[in-house]
Amino acid sequence: MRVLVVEDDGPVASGIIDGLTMAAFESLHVETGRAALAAMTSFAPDLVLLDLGLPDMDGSEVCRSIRSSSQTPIIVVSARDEEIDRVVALEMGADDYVVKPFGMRELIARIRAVSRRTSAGAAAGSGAGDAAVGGADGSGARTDRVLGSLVIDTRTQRVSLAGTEVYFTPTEFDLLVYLSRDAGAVHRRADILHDVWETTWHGTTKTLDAHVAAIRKKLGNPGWIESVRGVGFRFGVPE
Amino acid sequence: MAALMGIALLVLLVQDIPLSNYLRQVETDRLVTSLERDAFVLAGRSEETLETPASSATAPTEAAALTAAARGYRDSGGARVVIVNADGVAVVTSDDDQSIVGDSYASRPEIMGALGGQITSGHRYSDTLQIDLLYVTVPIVNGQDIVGAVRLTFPEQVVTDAVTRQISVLGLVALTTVVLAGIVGFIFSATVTRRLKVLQHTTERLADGDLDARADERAGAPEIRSLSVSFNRMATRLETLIEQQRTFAADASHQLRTPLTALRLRLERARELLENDAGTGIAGSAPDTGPGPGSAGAAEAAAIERLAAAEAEADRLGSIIEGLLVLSRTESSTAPVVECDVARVARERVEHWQPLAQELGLGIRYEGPDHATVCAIATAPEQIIDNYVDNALSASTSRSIDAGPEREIVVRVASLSPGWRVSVLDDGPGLSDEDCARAFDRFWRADSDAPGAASGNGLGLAIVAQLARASRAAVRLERRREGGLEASVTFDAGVHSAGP
Repeated sequence: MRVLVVEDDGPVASGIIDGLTMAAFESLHVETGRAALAAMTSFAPDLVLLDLGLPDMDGSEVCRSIRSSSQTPIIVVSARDEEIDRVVALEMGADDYVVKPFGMRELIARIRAVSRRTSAGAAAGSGAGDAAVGGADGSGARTDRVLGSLVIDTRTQRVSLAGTEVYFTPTEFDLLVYLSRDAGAVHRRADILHDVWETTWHGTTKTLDAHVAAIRKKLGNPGWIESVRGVGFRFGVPE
Repeated sequence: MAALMGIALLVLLVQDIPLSNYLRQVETDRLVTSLERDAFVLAGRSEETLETPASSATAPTEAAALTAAARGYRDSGGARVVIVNADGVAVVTSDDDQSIVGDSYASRPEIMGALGGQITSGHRYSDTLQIDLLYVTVPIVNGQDIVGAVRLTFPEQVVTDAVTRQISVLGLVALTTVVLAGIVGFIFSATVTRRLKVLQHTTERLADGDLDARADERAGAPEIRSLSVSFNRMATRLETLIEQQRTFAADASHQLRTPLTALRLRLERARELLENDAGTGIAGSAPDTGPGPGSAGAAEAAAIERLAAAEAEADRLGSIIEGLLVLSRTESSTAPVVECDVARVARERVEHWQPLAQELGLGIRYEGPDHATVCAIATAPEQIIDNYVDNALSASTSRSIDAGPEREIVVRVASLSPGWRVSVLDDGPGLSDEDCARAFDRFWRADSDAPGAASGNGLGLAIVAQLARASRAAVRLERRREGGLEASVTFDAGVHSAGP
């Protein structure tokens, strides 16, 4: 998979490229919007990581130019977390929006999710199946996630435990989906807050703990989500 | 307005008393002068009659003529006339009843004076008529001899009436003036008051965060217009400052987040490289589970541990940056103050924190009324309570030595007429009075040795204070007598505030 990294900040770009290489992606780094548009034909990437603050032109302008000639998925990587920035980028044809600072694992997870979604849309063979809508999951893609006795349906937002439906608040559901996506892995607090809560500041350090405690209580067994002291949480099927 | 008119009327009344005295004096003088003149005229006419001896044939005719003249004078609005001869005996009167002709007036002081050659005038009380009289007496002179006297009397009442009439006319004029001035003043001040009210309304809009609020600079009195211009200048300046702060927040977010991203990616990568190299194997294994079962050297394990710690520090840096941005945005926020039910919010927050408190072996409960409407910016009560509960949970778990079974956190809503106080009470170690006062400062940390203290960004309570300020509420930390801390926020009551 070929990834074009459009980022004017050298250290960030090399950090990303390093991570992409490790995840076995082929990547090219460009620093300007013009170079990015040129690389669209010369490099022919499968996905574009686009920073909005570029020296020569506005990121959303680049986004629109790319979108006018190709359906290559675009993930915007930005330091701006205002809702309006997000909306503008998504309106301009971006497929996802990641706010700095982010972790490499999150970025790679998003790259995979976006390319899966767009290729699923392309496979459906329908021109109207616009990848940016993100609803392309519906066509044949699995929406159920089964972990032991727990079944999470991301499409209908329903969770059942040993056949009985369990009700979660939207935030609890998002958190559960996030943690269970990579069962067994330790998720760092900062990453969880950044990725699940997104723009909204969590306000207090214990908000995350409160939600985890609520999920544990509803699942009836604290073993589902294990606290890793000083780091974060790990999801797992209790023995 | 009414007070002003009352003062004007009082001044008028006070001035009327000397004025009426003065008028009475003037009127009396005028009357006396006119009576003297008339008396002299009558005296001139009487001269011949008195000279004529009573025995003379023409005497009755002359006396009758003089009587007719005296009556004529009386009827033309003049006074009562009595003419006496040199002996003080009444010769002619203007009375219809001529019974007193022949009576002696010689004993009367004014007649005595007149017969002595003096012109006298004054007041006296008439026993006969039972009224105050004004009199003038003049001698009748023929060459060197005084042949008699003329006395004119006038009821004092006439003078009083004249004075009263003049005073009442003056009073009426004055009253009309006061009323007219009052009406004009009222219309004028009503205009000014209305303009001031409009300006006050605009000021309140600005205070509530509507930065577009501007006063009309072209309406009203010059003073109001000038005030409006000053107000608009202030509003514009305020808007610029807030705009600058917002821009700063956005700039700072971009400038700080980008290098932080680079730092994080590198730390993460370095740790992963070491972990892979050490052959820990399991992807995403926790760094604090110690060296893996593989061939990891002690040095590599130590390096991994340090890198994980560095990552945690980078996270903390990120948390501080986010906190500062939130604080900065809250400070420049122009979110409007709205009504919200703080009792409902408090109950919801208790429910939200219940599972975590339970895990930590603590109780948490709500205490207060079903509803309590207060004025606050939309999410402020929720965020403030969350911050307080967060701190209370830390405080309650920090002292594990004498942990009794009864430990609990109480979120209490109490009526504090006319507002509502929301308190979060814990039975942790509490704070010193000095710390209570400083805890709302930025970057203040309780006990840096306490577990978890380092994980906070030191901005929670600063944000609480800012949210409270924006909601026009007051925050406070207080040591509880029974131990622990009471963190409270006092809101203004909303319009539809329900009683407890």
